[in-house]
Order: sequence, then C-alpha cells, then structure tokens
Amino acid sequence: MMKKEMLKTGLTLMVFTVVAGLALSLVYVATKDRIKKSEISAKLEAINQVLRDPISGAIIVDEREVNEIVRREGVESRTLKEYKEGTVLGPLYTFLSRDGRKVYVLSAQAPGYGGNVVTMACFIENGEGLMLNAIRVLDYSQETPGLGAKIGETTVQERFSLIPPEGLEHGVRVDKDAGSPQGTVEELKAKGIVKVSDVMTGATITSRAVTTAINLMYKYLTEEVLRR
Amino acid sequence: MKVFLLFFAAIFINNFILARFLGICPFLGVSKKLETALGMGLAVIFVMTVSSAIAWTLDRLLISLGLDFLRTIVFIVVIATFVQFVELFLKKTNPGLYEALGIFLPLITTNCAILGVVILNSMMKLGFLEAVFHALGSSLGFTMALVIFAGVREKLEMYDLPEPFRGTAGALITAGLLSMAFMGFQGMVKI
Amino acid sequence: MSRMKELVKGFVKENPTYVQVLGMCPTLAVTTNAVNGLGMGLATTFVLTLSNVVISSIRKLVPEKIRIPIFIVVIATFVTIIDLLMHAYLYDLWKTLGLYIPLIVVNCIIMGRAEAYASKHGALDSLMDGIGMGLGFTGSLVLLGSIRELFGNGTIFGIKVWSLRVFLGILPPGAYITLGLLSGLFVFVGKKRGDKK
Repeated sequence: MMKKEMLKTGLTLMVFTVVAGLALSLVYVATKDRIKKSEISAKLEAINQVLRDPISGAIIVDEREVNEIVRREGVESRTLKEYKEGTVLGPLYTFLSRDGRKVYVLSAQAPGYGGNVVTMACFIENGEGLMLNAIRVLDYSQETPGLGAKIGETTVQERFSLIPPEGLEHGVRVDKDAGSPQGTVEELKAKGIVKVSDVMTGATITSRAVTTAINLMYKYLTEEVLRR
Repeated sequence: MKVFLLFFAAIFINNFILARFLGICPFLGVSKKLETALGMGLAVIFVMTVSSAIAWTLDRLLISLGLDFLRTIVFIVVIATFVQFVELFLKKTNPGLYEALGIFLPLITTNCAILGVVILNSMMKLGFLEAVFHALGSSLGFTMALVIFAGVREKLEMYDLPEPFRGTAGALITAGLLSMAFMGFQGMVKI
Repeated sequence: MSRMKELVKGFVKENPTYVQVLGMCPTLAVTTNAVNGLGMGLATTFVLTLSNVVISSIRKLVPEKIRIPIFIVVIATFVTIIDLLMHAYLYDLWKTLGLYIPLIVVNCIIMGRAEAYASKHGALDSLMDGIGMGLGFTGSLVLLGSIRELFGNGTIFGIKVWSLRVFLGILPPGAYITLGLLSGLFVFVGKKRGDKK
C-alpha cells in the first residue's frame, strides 16, 4: 500500500506544478509584448537624451530615423569588446545628423563603488575627429544613494557633455585625478578634465567609472570602427 | 583572474549579510551560540555551492528553451528538493554529521541567501566556474559574519543593556557596528 | 466585526516587522528611500494576499506531507506574476528593486502566514489576514525608508525637507542601526502600554 500512497502524493504534486506552470505561461504571454515595449521605450528615451545638443536642447538627428534604426538594431545589449578596465557594449547605433555629420551611440560599463556603472554616450564625427556630445548613466543601482548615486542627476551628467576631440585624445579624467586644477568647467574640458569635485563630493570612484567608460568607447570607436 | 576577484569580493565587500542583506533570518535566529552558528554556516556552504552548480545548468536549459520566466519557480523547487535529498542521504550514510547539521537543513530552504546567490548568478550572467566560486565565496562570507556575530553576542549577554534593547533590537545595532567595520573593505577589490 | 480584527492586528499588535521580526532581508535592503519601501511593500502584499487565499482554498486537498513544497510552488507562481507585471508596467521600479522581487518567495512572512494562518482558516479570513499583514509590512517599510531617506538625502518621497545629511543613514550600517532603534522603541512603547493595563 505504501507504493500507492507515494504515487498519489507524487501525482498531487505534479498536478499543482502543471497548473502553476500553465497559469504562469498565460501571464507571460499576456505581458510579453508590453515588456518588450517597456524595454524599447526605456532605451529610446536614453538614446533621445544623448542625441540632444546640450546647449540648445534640440535633437540633432531626425526622430523618425532614430526610431527606425533602434528598431532595426534591437535594444538587447551585447558585448562588443572587453578591455582590462571595462567592457564596451553594443548595439552600436550609427546615425546621420541633420547637418550631415556621422553620429555614434554606444554604451560601456566600468567598475564603480559597488558594481558596474553603465554609461551610454553619443560621439559626433567632425573635421578634427570625434567629439563627445552627451552621456547618460544607465545603470548605477549598486552605487551608494546620496553619494555615488548622485551620478544619476542630470546636472551632474551634464558636466561630462561636449568634450572636444583634443580632450578625448589625451584621455578624459576627473579633476581630482588631474591634481584639482583651477578653471571653469568649460576651460577644463578642452584638456579632457571633467570638473565634478564640487557636485560629487566624496564619490570619485563613481565618476571615475564614467570617465573610464568614455575613454573605452572612444578607444573602441577610433581603433575598431574608424580604424585610424 | 575574474574568478578570484569574484570570490574575494563576495567574502569581504559584497558580504551577503553585511552589505547585501541576504540571509538575515538565520543570521538573527541562530547566532546566539558560537557552536550552532558554525553548524549553520557549514550547512550553508555545502548547500549553496552545490545548488548553484545545479541551478546554473538548469538556467542554461531554460534559456535555450525560451522559458526563462519560470526561473524563480524552478530554482526554489531545485533548492527544496536538493535539501530534502541531502537530509535523507546524510541520515543513511553519516548519522554523525546528520546529527550535527540535521536541524539546520530544513531551515535552509527558506534562507534567502541560497535563492539569492542563484538568482544573482543568473542576473550577472556568470560562467559555470565563476558561478560556483561566487557561491563559495558568498557562503564563506556568510559563515564568517555569522561566527563573528555569534562571538560578539555571547559576550553581549553578560552586559547590562537597557531592557528594550535586549534581544533583537540590540542584535540589530550590533550588526550595524559590524557592518560599519566591514565597510573598510570597500573599494579594495574591483570586479 | 471579527473580520476587521483580522485585518487590523497586522498594523501594530502583530506587526510583522517590528514585533514578529519576519522578512528582514527586503526590509533592510530596499529601504534606502520611501518609494522603494512602498513598492516592495505593495508587491509583497499582493503575493501574500493571493497566496493566502489560494492556500486556504486548497488546504483540504493538500496531503500533510507535501504541503510545504506545494505552498512554495503557489507562492513562487504569484511572485513570478508580479515580477512580470512590474516588468511590463512599472519598469523603473522593477529595475531598482531588481533581485529582491524574486526573493519575495523566501520572505518568511509569506511562508509564515501560509503555515500559521492560511492552512488553518477559511478563505475570507485568510484574505483579511493577508491584506492586514501586508499593509503592516508596507507601513514598516515606508517608515524605515522615510527615516533613512530623510537622514541620508534630506528628503521624504523625493520632497526636500532639510539640507542636513548623515550619510550613515543610507549605508548598510545605518539600515541595521535605524531598524534596531525602531524595534527597541516598539518594545518600549508596547511595554509601557502593558504596564498601564
């Protein structure tokens, strides 16, 4: 009789599991499209933000083109190249700006205080080389709230925007790593120095993760994409 | 190289109890005596390491079938089954060890540290070896925090604390101080 | 009337966080601000209420021996449902709570109520019990989250209160210490009241 008892127990357990599995599949099917839509719209929002001119606020690429290319390339992030300091992440979106310049949008991750900090950036190709238009920090969930997590604020992220080619060439650094030089935010950018010590007090590691990501993306673009 | 960094970071920096807040129930529950704390720690090291190896394999299978939304339910069933199996196996083959670990095993199923490490492995997209070492490091870190804490609590029993702070409240504040000490490790290893 | 009592007991008298000391992991981990506390609390309430109702309705069909695995399957199902729903409709919150949503499965409150209450009472009572305990838990999380946000960032629900900042409040040690002080306070007040009667 022992066997019969065990069989019954096993069957009961199986019935419950099957019912649970079916219920889940239903919910999964019902929410699947909506989940995909949320993922795409979150990514699109970030892309639209880095594509804006930081001074005028106008979007530099035709919006229809943005939608079309993003849909074509997908939003699922994938590794483009791993470096010692971090990883460059795709998809690499290539657009043509309204005034005919080539625009690249890609992401990179580098270690911050608690985990990886993921930064998306938009580079524009002009006569002299690449310049950084704007960045957007996508993931900083492991950073300390109130300290490193301030990197999520727009006013902080703006400090990293519009870095000219000569600044990028020498490698971007946060001002503390450059010996805290004097000068306005704009003056320092020409030397590749990002002034954040006044807005990110005590959180150099997090801001350094962003500059590392910028340098990696620049390296990837110049060495692997533009090949110069 | 990444394997070792993950391993050490899991012990000291992202310590499950003191930084990630996983496995707090057994941490507060079985930390009154040094001996029981050590027993629980050993049981967790074993179960956590092996279940993350099993779960890693199943996770790959689920992903290849496109059924990764069933992840949570599959993982928890795997852990529960594995714990039962270990219990039965130990009872038959090694009664001595069963006596020592036995009472902690059923408690482990509802220890969120185990499910936590398995889900973290999947979310961080770790490889097999990385996942196993991450689990090993996490469980060692868990055991270390548990044992240190039990040592402190044994001493704490002797002091004349204000009455509302005896028991849980005092234990929580002690854990806060311990966590503060561990913050010193942060930023030392980078993943 | 008695149904109301089932609902209200979770708020103070049997408050799951401060009195029963259950579900500590999410309590400490996600309460860096008030909004996260609220989101986690409501997600847990959803799972707790529905799993309570289902478990109480099937309690006579479940053999004693395998009730724990079956309860776990029921709970895990509802957790996955809320995970999918949040992913679809509350994307930002879903991203911040991350790992801690699947971990609702092993939140001792849910298993604890299933074992101690829902497997022994009717569906309606279990519904009330679930809502009450869930809201009690949510309240505790919001309280802790507000205190930590206030000291760590000078805001509550993102609204600026003052510019004072004590970083410790928002870091892991601050979580333990704040919770310790609050639970000491709860015991103290509970005892004072008991003495009066």
